[in-house]
Amino acid sequence: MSQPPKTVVKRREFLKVLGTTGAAATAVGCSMERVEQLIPYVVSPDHTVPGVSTDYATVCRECSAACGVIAEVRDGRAIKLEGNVDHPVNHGALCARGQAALQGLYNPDRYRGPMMRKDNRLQPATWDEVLARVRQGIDEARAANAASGVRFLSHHENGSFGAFVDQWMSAGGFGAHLAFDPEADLAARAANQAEYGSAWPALDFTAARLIVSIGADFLDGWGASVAHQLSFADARAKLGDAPRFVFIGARRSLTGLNADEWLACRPGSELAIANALLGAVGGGGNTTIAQAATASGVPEALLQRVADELRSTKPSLVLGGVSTPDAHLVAQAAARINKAAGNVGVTVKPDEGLAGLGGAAGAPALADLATAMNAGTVRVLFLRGTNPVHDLPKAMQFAEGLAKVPLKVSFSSYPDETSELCDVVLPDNHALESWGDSEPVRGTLGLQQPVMDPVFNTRATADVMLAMARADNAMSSRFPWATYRDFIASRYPSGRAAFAQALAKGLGQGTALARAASAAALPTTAQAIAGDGEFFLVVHPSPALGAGAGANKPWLQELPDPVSKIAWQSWIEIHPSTAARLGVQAGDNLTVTTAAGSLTAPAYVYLGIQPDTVAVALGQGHTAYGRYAQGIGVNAVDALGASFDGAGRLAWTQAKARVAKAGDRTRLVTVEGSARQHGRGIARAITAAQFAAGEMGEEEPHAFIGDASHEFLPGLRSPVANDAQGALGDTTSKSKGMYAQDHWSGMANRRWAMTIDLARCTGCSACVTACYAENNIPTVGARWQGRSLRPFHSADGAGWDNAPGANILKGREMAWMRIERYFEGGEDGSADFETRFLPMLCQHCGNAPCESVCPVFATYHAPDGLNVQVYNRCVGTRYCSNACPYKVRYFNWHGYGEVERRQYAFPEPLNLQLNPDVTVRGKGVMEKCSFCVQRIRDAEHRAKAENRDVQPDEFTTACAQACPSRAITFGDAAHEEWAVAKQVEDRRAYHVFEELNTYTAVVYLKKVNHPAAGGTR
Amino acid sequence: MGCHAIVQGRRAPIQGIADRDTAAINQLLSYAKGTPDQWKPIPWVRIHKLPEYVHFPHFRHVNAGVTCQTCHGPIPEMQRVYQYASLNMGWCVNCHVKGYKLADGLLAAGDTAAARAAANVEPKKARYDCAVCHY
Repeated sequence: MSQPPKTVVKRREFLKVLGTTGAAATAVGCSMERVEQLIPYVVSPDHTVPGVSTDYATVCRECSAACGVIAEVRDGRAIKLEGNVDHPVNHGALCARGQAALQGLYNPDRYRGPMMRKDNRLQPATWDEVLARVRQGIDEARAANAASGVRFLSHHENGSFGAFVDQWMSAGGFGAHLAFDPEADLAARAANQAEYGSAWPALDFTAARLIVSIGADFLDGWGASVAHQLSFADARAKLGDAPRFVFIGARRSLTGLNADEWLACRPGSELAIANALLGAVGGGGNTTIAQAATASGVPEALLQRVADELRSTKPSLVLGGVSTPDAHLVAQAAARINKAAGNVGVTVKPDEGLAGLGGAAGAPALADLATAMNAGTVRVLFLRGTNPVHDLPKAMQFAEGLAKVPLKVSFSSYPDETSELCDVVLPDNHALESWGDSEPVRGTLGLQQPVMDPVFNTRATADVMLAMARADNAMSSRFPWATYRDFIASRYPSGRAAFAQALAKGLGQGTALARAASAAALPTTAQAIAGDGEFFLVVHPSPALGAGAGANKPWLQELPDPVSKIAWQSWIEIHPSTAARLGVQAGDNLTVTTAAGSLTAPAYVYLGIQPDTVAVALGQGHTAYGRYAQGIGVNAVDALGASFDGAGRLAWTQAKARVAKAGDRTRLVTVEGSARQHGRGIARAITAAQFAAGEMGEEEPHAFIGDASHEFLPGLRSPVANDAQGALGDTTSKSKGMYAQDHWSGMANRRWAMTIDLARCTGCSACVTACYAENNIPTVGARWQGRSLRPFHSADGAGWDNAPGANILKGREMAWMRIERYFEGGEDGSADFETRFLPMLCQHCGNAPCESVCPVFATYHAPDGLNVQVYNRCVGTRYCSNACPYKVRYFNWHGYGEVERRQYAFPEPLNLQLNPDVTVRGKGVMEKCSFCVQRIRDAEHRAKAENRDVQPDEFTTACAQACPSRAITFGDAAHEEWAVAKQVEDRRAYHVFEELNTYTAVVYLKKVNHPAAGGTR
Repeated sequence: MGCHAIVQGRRAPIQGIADRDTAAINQLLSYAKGTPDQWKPIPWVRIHKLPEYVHFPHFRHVNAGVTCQTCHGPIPEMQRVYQYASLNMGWCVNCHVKGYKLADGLLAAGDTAAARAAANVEPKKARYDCAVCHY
């Protein structure tokens, strides 16, 4: 073996060589610099200016509510979604799931093009190949006289698409089309239809004086959450006159935590309570209060008081939304209570309800499909937007049935559990790349349009279906439209020109093509909760992840669950007394076993659950579905069998379970420091009675000089006032420079401030996700983002630093805005506890502790009231974070914004979503809420360009814009025309940690509690 | 508007200067060959770029009356465009704090008559707070 010539390089020579090479490079001049090119359009799109955003109105498809969104598109890419102010359902607000739709659009794991199964693996293919394969499958089915064996399973969507598929299927002589929505409360819809004549009447919380919810989580996923939250928050904003809210259920969901009172009841006993309440309002019912108390475990006196309250308080609003097998009976009873109490037309408005909900298939229909598949009668199965292999219990044998279907065609955009089993994938455009329509309220069409060109080589399913129909002899005559856009436009009542105009608003007059809704009567009986085992198992959808669809979006994984504050994980909720009895501590792994299967996850000790119940959230436990979803947590459906309620919904709370310690521990990925305030007075409240009496509530006013709400002291304590002017500054001058009120720049005349009304805030966390979207905040909890140089993990790669959420365990979450959740009361484990939600963000203190400790003046107070963070000046001492009492400063530990780093948070094409108006921070730099300074500057520039002043409330921050509770108000507190100026004067106003003299620009308004008569909380 | 159909790469003789080919215009025309769907975008080389942590609203400066030559230098006289001013922060802040003299800008643009007329215009100052550009 020949050896290469030995070159001995001495140490000094080595450095010399290095130096020469470096010098040679620089001597060439500018060759180190990248030559950047500016490529313009050859033909510029109409109405587009580079660098200026264009807004397009479309429809959000993240849940069945079909809210209107405005997509902000910059240079051909959607970068932010806002609610459509004119839309009748969401009125400009947008929930966390809606905000995260962008991460579905730009998901790095999306199918980049068509796929075909070759060598037992899905591999990239061409459109011609996959379309040919589909045609072949259909031809074979027809040749065997089994055209009815061609079936279609889609995600139920509000709008014409469902009926369009029906027509397509019938034109081709094919079998039935099923539209399935795992989260839809079919029981409530069917009961509402039968009792009110409307599947989902509008719920007017503001008109109610008492709200009773029997398991209906109207703030976190039941029905149209944004619409309900808007109304509920407006009701709460009536303060002393706000309705009392009683929640009845086995588990206190986010909705339950917002209730003034929780009646903790045994799962399955809600029907008895509903019937007892029905009797109390004189509507019949076959259960006495005493019987209901015995069945549920609720003290009889308590139940009697609530029943009396319901009878005597009008108008009321009663909602029934359980997930037990008798859900249809509970929903029916709730509707009958409303009718008997005279609520119809007052708080329950059938004429103004949500439309477009008809035609959703129940789980029994899917069970029939699975049976047919297993029997071999399904020849071709089309699947669009639905993931039954993950969402349905194994007992339904859907995956086994799929294996027997000769041709499985998936239109899925994502490699989920179902599409990975299919033979061909014809990836659909994302909702933001598609045409469509919806009918959110009767007679109003919500128009869906593409806001940008498709990111990948995908095609709209409807267009693929149209092309197939037009090429098919049997079908072509019924499908004259070239594209789905033509179909939608041709249906528009007032014609094409009006259609184009309506697209600008995203709304028009008209109706969507409706599917036939089944008119089957609801059964009068129900199955019982079955199983042996000491505990009831409550399974519920996750507010962010839903039944599973949200798991591939890192913003939603990073969003701490509003109830448990846990992210990137599954957990099992268990009551403190049960934990004590079983010797379980938070983090101990528990195994929950039902007849159908078992789940193992860490325990979370939670006050808001019955001692005889454990609860698990849906959404995790994916075995496919991309890098952010795969291998995280457990799929709660694994513990469920094929038990349905009378309306056909899968009964999530159907089983009793055995719970045992699994023996090991997992660290809970929680962002919660403590669940209690420990007397710190962070989230304050006042009872309605105290408010009416003019009292201050639990905290006495502080007797220190200066009223923090009015006297903002910016800059005077900052060392920069004079220094900022450098050589031009006069060190002996007493001048305040640009901080003077009469300075020519006028900057000191502004006082940017924010109020957050805790009476309105429900803890939904839409603001958190909106902030992530607007400010390029990196997510840090993915599995591969945790590992650092030092070996925190064992040699085989296992360990907590390799697990999802590792960075969050180290306290390194980056959320500029977080929701603090504090419990008050209930230390004895009783159900009588109150929850306070407090959005915490940089307080932009007038006397900021962080500003005086920065050694390089990277943070300082601007004359207009902002606490500014200058990223390029920051050297990363982190002294500011140390000094901040609110802990709202975040350090970029791993360079989440740098493409070449392993911890890069925006893998292509997620980086297309980044807001160009906000710096993407590099490693070693502090960041924090900036009061959306980019929006402030943009408004100022726009005003100057139009030669006018900035109008009051012309713009607002991302969090305030998204909030469905309208809890956040932002603006200039120094000018009274701005809304926030009045808000800071509110009687309930206070500052967090007032006693530290920080003079915060964020003012909180105390929550108003409505304890039961005689209660104190 | 038909410019690409009218503009030729060859300049007609004017005022005693012979007709000649203009290499620059020919180069531009080469991007517009064939039918419009075959045209290519012109790959402009970026000369002036500020770091990404600076947010610079160009239109504010144009609207304020800052002449192009103030910052970009004598572009019409450049055979090949180069970066004329340092564009570093001190250079920018200096003008913001001291104020922009319209007369100087017009002089740089070569309009001496207008510069004389604008001799008494107050220097136009601009904000120099860090958060106006760094956010």
